[in-house]
Amino acid sequence: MSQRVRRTVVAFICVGAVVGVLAPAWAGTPITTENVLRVVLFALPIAGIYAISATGLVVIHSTTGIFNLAQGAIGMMCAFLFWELSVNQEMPRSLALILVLFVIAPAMGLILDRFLMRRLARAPLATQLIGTVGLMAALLGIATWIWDPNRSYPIAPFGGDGGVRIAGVLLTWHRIITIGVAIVVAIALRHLMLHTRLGVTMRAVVDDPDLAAMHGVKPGRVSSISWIIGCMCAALAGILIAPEIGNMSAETLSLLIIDSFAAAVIGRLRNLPMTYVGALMVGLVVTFSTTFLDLGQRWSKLPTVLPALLLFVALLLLPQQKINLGRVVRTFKMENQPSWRSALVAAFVLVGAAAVAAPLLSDVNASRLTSGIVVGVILLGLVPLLGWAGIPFFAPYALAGVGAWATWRFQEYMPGVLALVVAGAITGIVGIIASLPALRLRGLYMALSSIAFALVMTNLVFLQPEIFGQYRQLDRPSIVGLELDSPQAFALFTTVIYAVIALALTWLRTSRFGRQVVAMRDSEAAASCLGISLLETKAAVFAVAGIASGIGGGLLALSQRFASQEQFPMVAGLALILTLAIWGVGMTSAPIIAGLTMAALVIITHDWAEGGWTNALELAGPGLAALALVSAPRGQIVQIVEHAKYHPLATVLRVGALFAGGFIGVRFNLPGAVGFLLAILLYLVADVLGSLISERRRRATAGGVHGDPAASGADGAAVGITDPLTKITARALDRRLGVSNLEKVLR
Amino acid sequence: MTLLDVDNVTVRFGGLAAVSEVSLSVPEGIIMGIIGPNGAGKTTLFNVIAGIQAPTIGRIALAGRDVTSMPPHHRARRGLARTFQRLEVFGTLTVRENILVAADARRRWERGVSPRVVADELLERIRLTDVAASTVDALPTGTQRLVELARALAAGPKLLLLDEASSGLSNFDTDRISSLLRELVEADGLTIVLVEHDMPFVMGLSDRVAMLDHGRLVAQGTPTEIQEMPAVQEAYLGVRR
Ligand SMILES: Nc1ncnc2c1ncn2[C@@H]1O[C@H](COP(=O)(O)OP(=O)(O)OP(=O)(O)O)[C@@H](O)[C@H]1O
Ligand SMILES: [Mg+2]
Repeated sequence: MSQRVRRTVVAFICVGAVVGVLAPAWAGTPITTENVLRVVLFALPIAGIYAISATGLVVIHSTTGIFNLAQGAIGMMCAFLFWELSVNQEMPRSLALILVLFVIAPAMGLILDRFLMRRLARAPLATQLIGTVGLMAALLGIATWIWDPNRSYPIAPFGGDGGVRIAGVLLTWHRIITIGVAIVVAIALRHLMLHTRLGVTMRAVVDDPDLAAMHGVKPGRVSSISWIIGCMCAALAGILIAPEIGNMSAETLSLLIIDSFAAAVIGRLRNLPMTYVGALMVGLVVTFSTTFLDLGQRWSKLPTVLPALLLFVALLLLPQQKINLGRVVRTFKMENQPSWRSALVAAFVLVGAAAVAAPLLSDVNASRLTSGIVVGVILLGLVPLLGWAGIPFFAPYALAGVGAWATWRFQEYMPGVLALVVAGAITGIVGIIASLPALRLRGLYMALSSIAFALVMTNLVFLQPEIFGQYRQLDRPSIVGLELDSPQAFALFTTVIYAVIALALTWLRTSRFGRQVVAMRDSEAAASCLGISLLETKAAVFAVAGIASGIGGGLLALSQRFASQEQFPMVAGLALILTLAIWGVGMTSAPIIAGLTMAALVIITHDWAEGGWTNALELAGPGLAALALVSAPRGQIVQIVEHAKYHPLATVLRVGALFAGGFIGVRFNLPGAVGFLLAILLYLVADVLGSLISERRRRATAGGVHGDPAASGADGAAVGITDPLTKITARALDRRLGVSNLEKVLR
Repeated sequence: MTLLDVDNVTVRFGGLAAVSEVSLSVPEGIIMGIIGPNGAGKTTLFNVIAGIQAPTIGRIALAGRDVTSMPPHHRARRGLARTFQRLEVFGTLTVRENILVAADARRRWERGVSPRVVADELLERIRLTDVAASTVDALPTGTQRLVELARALAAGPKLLLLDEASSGLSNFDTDRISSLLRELVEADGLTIVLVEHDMPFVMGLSDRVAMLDHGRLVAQGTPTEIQEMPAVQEAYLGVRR
């Protein structure tokens, strides 16, 4: 389709949708000058906040190439710090403001840049995005830890209660200040970019980083300054928006800023004036809908997803992203391809272990196990998408929700297990629909569109009366007379389903189709020049993902015996992806480990060691671990397996100790925290012991360490080092080169 | 019969005309060489023919059929295959899998193809059997180029576009490829268009040679004719008229 035709079609669909919603929802508010003025006047401050936040995104992205999904969370952190200083510590407001804006925010930017972002800048896109999602989760976790979410944190608006009345519309001082600040930020940045040496340098880096480096520009300095500016913008936006939302909560504050993504995309992620225009559009659309529309039950949440919808439209209107030629970013082998036999053995071991263990578990523990495995099944759908095809799709719960709904819907017509299969098929079809943006969008834009998709699904589609409008009750099925009512039986049932899907995926990966998908990931240009239709291949991958995640969603609903919208929130979906990425996105063994990790964290948080620091663990744990991903982009499983190959004894000791600690904790009914600490303590002891032993053994056997050459890491690739440069490989290098200690240099 | 028709193709990138008003027809069963200095627009022309780059103006026809608005995979299904100057191998797959991907895809439009047989035959023919099980990313550039050639051939093309197939190859391999290409044209009836910097290679191998400079087609003829043309000598030897 030519660009013009496509744009016309998109425009028609949008106008159609808008009219379709508008006509019935029109509130009958007369279109008077006053009302129009009200819309504009209310839109301006909102636009101002979005613009400031989006400016930060654009500055960081255009100079460092990283799209900071944690922008909102940084703003949230700063807003909370502002509350802490000005309200809790009773500091003068102006002093607190100066401290947060000009000391804390820049310091945050500097620290983030130095310790995290510079390393991320060279990682593949998926790792970059997951890294910033990890940062978001970690900040959210830390915030809930410090500031109890059950209390309220009011920040008074700036400028007091009064305001200016313009033609009968009251504009508060706070909003006037917001508009003013947005304008000042725009002018200041424009001046910085056009008229200072620093700005010229930054623009040079945007245009051509290599050329800029050749002319003596220090890229490190530019990236530090970008992060400082970005964090200051985030802080400003956070502090300005906090008084507007009555009760500030860490999560809403972090997510509000997703709304500014639309503005940044309209600015094509590099054009600041267009970003402001985009922010204004978002603001106008949102205030228009709240002023003129009377949205009934069905569309009541529409205003909250409007920015996401706008983001979606903006993405679809971008010029078609061409097939990339010349592989700029190294492809990573994200998946290990187990042999058919080892997969079969693993599946049997898994099911066998579950069959032995499940009957021994208490009801509560069996349900916990089930919840972990169910998450694993949902995550299995992401293996072909993220791992094989390298498509950054961040909306697992959007697919799972469809599966849950379909399971409920078809349960009355057919046996439960069959309903699950039908649910998989239906979600597969929805997956194909979800793949449509992937045909036009790649990389970052694809990731953003999937986040928008997740938001629209949970906050709009799932709320429809026909879907999860009411509480949907589900009964557990029985297979050939075998009741799955008991938690133990259901745990075994989910394990069997996991094993079946994992085996099917393993078979698919080794098939013609799997090869084709990986080929497409490695080079879209070559694949399409060989007669492979990218469109069909991507749609097929999405269908597979839909089937697996849909069945997972159905299992989730069955395990909890009900289905509702709250089971599938967008942020939790991101947390799932984080956990999966920590273990490795491409392996069918990773999802179950990720699911169990999540389950373990939930257990620790909610009933093992309740209170205080553990509240933060659910988010902060995966968040911090995801940051560790920077050094192991292919995931922990590969890392551990490799480590186990060279230090088998140490590995056995560590894992054994972890299990022993956990076992002692559970067996002797120690208070949860003690058991948990014991497990970690034993793990650490075993770790030290293990490394001591393996050190000795290594010295005894002077043979070289041969890494898998395909296991390429990012860092040393330029100098011809293709293994990830970990301590282990560094030591191996030392020995080969006869250098004393490269490890020290690395640090 | 003309297999490939390039009709008045122009490609502009902003203000730069990478290819301008190029018309070229390639009859079936020959080897056509395309030469020209760096930045002359050779690769861009290949991208237009393969469908990866849309021309600003102009048309492309394959075997008499207009394919200008066809996506790359449809052109491939009509018998077009290519290699890339900046390599586009499937880096995380093995050499054999690279070839298999192409042979598998071919089954969609050609009946009775056995991918395994095709792969084994090509591995043998291009002498990649030794590295068949290696991951391509771990191989040297020269070998990767051979993998691209094998992969393109596995698609069973009628028209093969080779972008600098000999760069990075040893003299031994270059000779080997040279005779392989001749054989493909003579025995299998393939038509080949190749872009080359290696003058002896291209002049020795081609039936016809075309020269691009600054995006324009400046000369066309048999190798001997081309070598004698002033425009060619000017571009390659720096002789000024
Ligand atoms: N995607 C693009 N955007 C902008 N300019 C481009 C693009 N692709 C190529 N060019 C420019 O078009 C011109 C022709 O490039 P092309 O790669 O086709 O030349 P070439 O003859 O293949 O050169 P070489 O011998 O170096 O391979 C060059 O000036 C190049 O910089
Ligand atoms: Mg070229």
